[in-house]
Amino acid sequence: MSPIDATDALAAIFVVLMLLGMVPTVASLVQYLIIGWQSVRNNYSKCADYTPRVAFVLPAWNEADVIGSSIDSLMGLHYPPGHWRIYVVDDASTDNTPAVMREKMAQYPGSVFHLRREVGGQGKAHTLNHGLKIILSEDWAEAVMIMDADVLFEPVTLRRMTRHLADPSVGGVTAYVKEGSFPGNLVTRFVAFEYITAQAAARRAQNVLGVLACMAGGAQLHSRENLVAIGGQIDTSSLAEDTFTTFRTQLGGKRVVFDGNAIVWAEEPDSLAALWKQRIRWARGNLQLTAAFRKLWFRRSQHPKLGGFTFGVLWFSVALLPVFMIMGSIGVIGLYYLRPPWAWSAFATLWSTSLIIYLFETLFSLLIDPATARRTWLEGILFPGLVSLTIMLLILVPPSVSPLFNGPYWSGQVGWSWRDIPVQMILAWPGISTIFAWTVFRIDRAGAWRWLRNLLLILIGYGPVMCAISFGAMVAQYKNADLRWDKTVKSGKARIRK
Amino acid sequence: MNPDDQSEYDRLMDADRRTEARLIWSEIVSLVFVAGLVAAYAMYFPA
Repeated sequence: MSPIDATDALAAIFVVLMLLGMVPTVASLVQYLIIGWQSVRNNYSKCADYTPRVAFVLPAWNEADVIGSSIDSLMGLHYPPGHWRIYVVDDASTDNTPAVMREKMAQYPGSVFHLRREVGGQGKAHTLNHGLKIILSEDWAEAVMIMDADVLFEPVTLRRMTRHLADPSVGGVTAYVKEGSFPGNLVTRFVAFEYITAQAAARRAQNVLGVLACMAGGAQLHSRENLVAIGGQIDTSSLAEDTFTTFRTQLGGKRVVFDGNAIVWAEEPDSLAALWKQRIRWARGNLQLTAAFRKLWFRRSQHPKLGGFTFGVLWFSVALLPVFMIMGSIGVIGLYYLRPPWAWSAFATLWSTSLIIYLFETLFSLLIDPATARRTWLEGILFPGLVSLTIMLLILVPPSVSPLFNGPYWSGQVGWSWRDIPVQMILAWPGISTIFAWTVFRIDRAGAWRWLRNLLLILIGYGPVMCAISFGAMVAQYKNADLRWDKTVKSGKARIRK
Repeated sequence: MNPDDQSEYDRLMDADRRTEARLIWSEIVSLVFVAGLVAAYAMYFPA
């Protein structure tokens, strides 16, 4: 191969890397474009006024601050009297949880049950299984709601979920978990907006595709038949027991449905340090699942929907998000040295596409859930971070007049200089922002001033924080770090908001 | 199931169908808005 051919081949590789860097953005756009179909392609036509006897299973480890409110919200459900029971599986709590349970059992006799494990600490899945074993050993329950101890149900949420089980092809139903901390802060408002995109939007799109990536562990309703069919137990080998259950349900031939109008409220982490801990657990769980179902991906013969191309791309665009971001950055930086004019085109394509998709998705997200949008619209706008937003605006300035890009550095006339560094920082921002986001997390964990954490978070963006967490999860998996169940501490701040 | 329960169920179904039907219009509004911005930019800065 001649030197010219080798350069061309390398440039082509960089172009491919740049294009791969756009996969998550484009996959997200595809998901958003199909949401509208939910208006005609939904499960409501198959619903009926079905009110099975439902057993709620609440795993609890030191949940004295929140368990009472959760039970009260569940006892206020609009549902036929006597058709639901609450089983709190106490994972050997050392706080006041047993006393709270004694009080609640006296307040709601025959409806609230305390299942105590004397030896605990094995994690949520083991705790759930202790409860499921007892519930399924009796004939009473016709459906089982797996949830978290801090989750608050709106009065009509159960009714909205059980109606889908009237369709015998449906094995599980999940609700829209909203962030309900009161008072909230910048982090919880970012989470609230994120949940519009990741649940209210993405899961509606997955409804249209006929396949769901995850039934939220905070509100996961199963028919008894489905729960028995998947073994009557929750997977204990991973950190993503809810996603495993979702996959096993669908692989067993049942459908799962997301009902965006069935709403529950939860307290989510209010600091980056706590958020990191929670999301590392989720992301590692997803990587474990990716490996456990390795024979499923992109193989329709394994499952027509889970093994389909569209779902595979959607799954990996999230699971491998930092890999795509880094590939995109390498692609543009490589072109910058190899083919400077191409680098400008690649950079402009990457960011102008991102800008258009960002505008569409942000506006649509705010319209999907106007109630949440009223308190999180600013976080929605700031989601990518001020640095990314500035780069997007710079792209709008035509290169002929841009002070940044109208120089010798795009013409390939000069060698490396110190002035390359800021240009390369901008070019590689999708990848580099991951490092900055990790730094913000470390600063927050070190106990930095709240205003400094907030300022840095606004500059770097919440999106890059999610990307950094995914990268952290990959590193932890690679290093085979301990699979500890790091529980997210809840203080009882969640409220049902009107 | 008493009549009150039935009417609550019907009310929920009507409300939720309306919410889902609104999604397609929200999507169209968002797309048209962004397309308008892109068109306006292209008019000001023709390639």
